[in-house]
Amino acid sequence: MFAAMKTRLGLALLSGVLLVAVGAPAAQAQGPELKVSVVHALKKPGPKDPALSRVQGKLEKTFAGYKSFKELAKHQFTLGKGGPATLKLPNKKDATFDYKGKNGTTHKVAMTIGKNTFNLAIPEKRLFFQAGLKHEGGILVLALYLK
Amino acid sequence: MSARDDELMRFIDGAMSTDEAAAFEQILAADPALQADRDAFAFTGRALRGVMAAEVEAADFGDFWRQLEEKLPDAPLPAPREAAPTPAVEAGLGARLAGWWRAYWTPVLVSAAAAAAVAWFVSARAGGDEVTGGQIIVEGVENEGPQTVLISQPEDEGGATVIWLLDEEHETDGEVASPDDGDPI
Repeated sequence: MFAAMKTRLGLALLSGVLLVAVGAPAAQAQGPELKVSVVHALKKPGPKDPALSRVQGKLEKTFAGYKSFKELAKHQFTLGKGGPATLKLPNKKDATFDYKGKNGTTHKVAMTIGKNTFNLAIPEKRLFFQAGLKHEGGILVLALYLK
Repeated sequence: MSARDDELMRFIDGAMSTDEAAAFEQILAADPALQADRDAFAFTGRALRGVMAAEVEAADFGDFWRQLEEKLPDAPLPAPREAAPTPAVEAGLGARLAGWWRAYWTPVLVSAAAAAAVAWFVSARAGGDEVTGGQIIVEGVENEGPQTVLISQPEDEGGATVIWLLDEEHETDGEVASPDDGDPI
């Protein structure tokens, strides 16, 4: 009788453990805020976009062959919250940012654009660019910043 | 070290001529004490090589660049000599990229990625898991399709990483940005 009770108790405990394991999936680590400014760069001169006033100089210096820059879209989201974040770019391609966690002072992010994935180690508060995709006579520049 | 030990070392190191080695082998075969010495020297050599390999593997070269910089003079380096004029030819994408590359970036590694794609990595000081100087590190690229990937890390501390993904031909004119640490966008 005691053996049967032990068995039932053991099964009950095991079921409880399994329920806890199934009911509480491992929470994905929440990362920093990622800001993305989608910029259209053209080689012909054009008016300055006030939305880009804070990065105008850096854009002009970094992409010296391009004379006008216009912000087409702006995004901000928390990395790692609810899985990978996907942006639809103006050229119909997707840009996906998958947070992989923090390692020391940097954040690991897999950035996928089209069929290309870049595994990045990014420090916070550091501006960097992704550029080169053709769009309406110019290129797209993504200005990226981890807040 | 005795003359015999010296000969033994030369024998182990393969520094003897063929005739010398043959003669020494005959002496070795008849002398158990010499054989024991040979085994001891050989064992010591293997142990030392093992220790050296472990030391090299464990060595940290992460600080190498900083140490090198400290040894550089503070005075500005002399201006590079003017390059000889090159004949005016219709430059293809590769030539134009190479020209741009020479003008603005320091190439360290050029690597091919997936089948139809080429990934060009350029890194001035990048490497390792930890980011030094706040640079963005591209730890890996999975590149499919006919696109060219250029990853540039400028040499100056305040520069910005640019990850180029080129659909087709593009002129990639550019210079190093100097972003501050404020929130720019």
